[in-house]
Amino acid sequence: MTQLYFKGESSEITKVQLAEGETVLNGLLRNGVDVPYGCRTGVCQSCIMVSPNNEVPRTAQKGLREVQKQQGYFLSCCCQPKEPMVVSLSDYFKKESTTVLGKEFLSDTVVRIRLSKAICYRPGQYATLWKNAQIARTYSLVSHPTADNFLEFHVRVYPDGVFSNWVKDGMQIGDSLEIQGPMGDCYYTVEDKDQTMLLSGLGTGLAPLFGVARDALIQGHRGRILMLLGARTQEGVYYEKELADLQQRYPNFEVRFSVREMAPEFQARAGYSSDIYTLAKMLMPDLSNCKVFLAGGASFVRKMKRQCFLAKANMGDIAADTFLSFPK
Amino acid sequence: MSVYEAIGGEAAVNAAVDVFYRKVLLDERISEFFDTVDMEEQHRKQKAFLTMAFGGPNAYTGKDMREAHAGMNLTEEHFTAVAEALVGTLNDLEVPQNYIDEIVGIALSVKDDVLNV
Ligand code: HEM
Repeated sequence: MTQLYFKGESSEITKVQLAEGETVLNGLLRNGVDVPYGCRTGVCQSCIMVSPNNEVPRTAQKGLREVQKQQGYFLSCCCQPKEPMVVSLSDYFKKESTTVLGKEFLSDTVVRIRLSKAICYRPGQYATLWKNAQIARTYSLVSHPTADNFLEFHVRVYPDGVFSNWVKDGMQIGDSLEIQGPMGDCYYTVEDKDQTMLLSGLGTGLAPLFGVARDALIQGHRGRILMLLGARTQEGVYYEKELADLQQRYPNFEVRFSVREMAPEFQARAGYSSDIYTLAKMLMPDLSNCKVFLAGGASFVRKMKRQCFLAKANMGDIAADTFLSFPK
Repeated sequence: MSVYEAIGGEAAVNAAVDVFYRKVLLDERISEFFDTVDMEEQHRKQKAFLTMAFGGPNAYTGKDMREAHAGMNLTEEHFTAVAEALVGTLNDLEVPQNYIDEIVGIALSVKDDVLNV
């Protein structure tokens, strides 16, 4: 049992007894304290809090910036304190209001939405979108802050996805919603413009990678940029036109697809291979001095990261954006 | 001057950690200990290991080493494999032999604690 002291808006203190292994967020919610939260897995950062003078467990600070860590910020959904702790809400990430400018299907399961430019960001970072005060989801920024005058996100529609089905069926052009962010460090920071870059992702992992590649090209990257995209079926391949346009415009940019369940007519098509890991090894066997960006589900990112590391990419040169599934 | 300072301190650890980590992941005698889900966390631990092996600043005691490695049932073979990865790394980075000898000495000094004997 750990004692938790929650300092509310008017500095009143609520005392909460945390059960063994219980997170700060769950303890507060269980006691009826109304605090914001989203994914509950440490990604969306909606539940960020601050602890003024306590040691914050390291595991509760993953993904935060160094200055935030030093200032005692932490994610309450990942914080299981062993010592008594004083916590309060932080206004670090203010929510901004944004308007829906466009909505369009990119494939059977991916909807592109465009929102008014309410935040400053780097392509490849992500932001949390709030349907209302309870329902929030996190998506990667595909658009470019200077080249585009909108924010673009790719929303994968899941059969029982509360947020994604609302985007698909309910969201209308002109609607307003709230946005919070940006977050994440999967963006173009390459100082050496001749460095080779490998970007690899599965499914809507395309979103941050497209953002990063386009940003690199706009910033005048000269080195080879290879983008390796994986999908389960041919229908899962989307954004082909935009990728082809980019390829046409920039000769150092190249895209390859890997479709796991390939239809025979595609097997013959040059550049396709059914296993993304094999394809990566074939196309770039040696990743020394290469900058790597990965995006997709946890098992893909883990496996590809390991493979790239063993192919001699430096750990510090591998940036990854792991999409986590939301607990029901 | 300690070996740690002589070979370049934290910069030497940073240069060595990727090389060392790759070696242990590829060594079937010990890879299972290091092939964990969280590569960043593992990377941090390997830096702690190298800092200590290079005689750098660390707060570990023999008792800590016992506890850190307790329950892993480590054997002589495991220890040899880690030592080989360490020496291999230092050779790759062209660290002079006299420093390598000193670093091996530091590793050997905690051997009993690591193996919990
Ligand atoms: C050569 C002597 C060794 C030294 C100086 C040493 C040093 C260390 C240090 C400093 C840590 C703590 C890292 C941290 O959590 O902050 C650690 C953890 C660890 N060591 Fe060693 N080590 C040695 C040998 C070995 C061997 C032979 C193995 C197994 C083959 C091994 C496997 C591990 C593992 C798996 C951990 C992580 C434990 C955890 O997850 O908390 N070590 N070691």
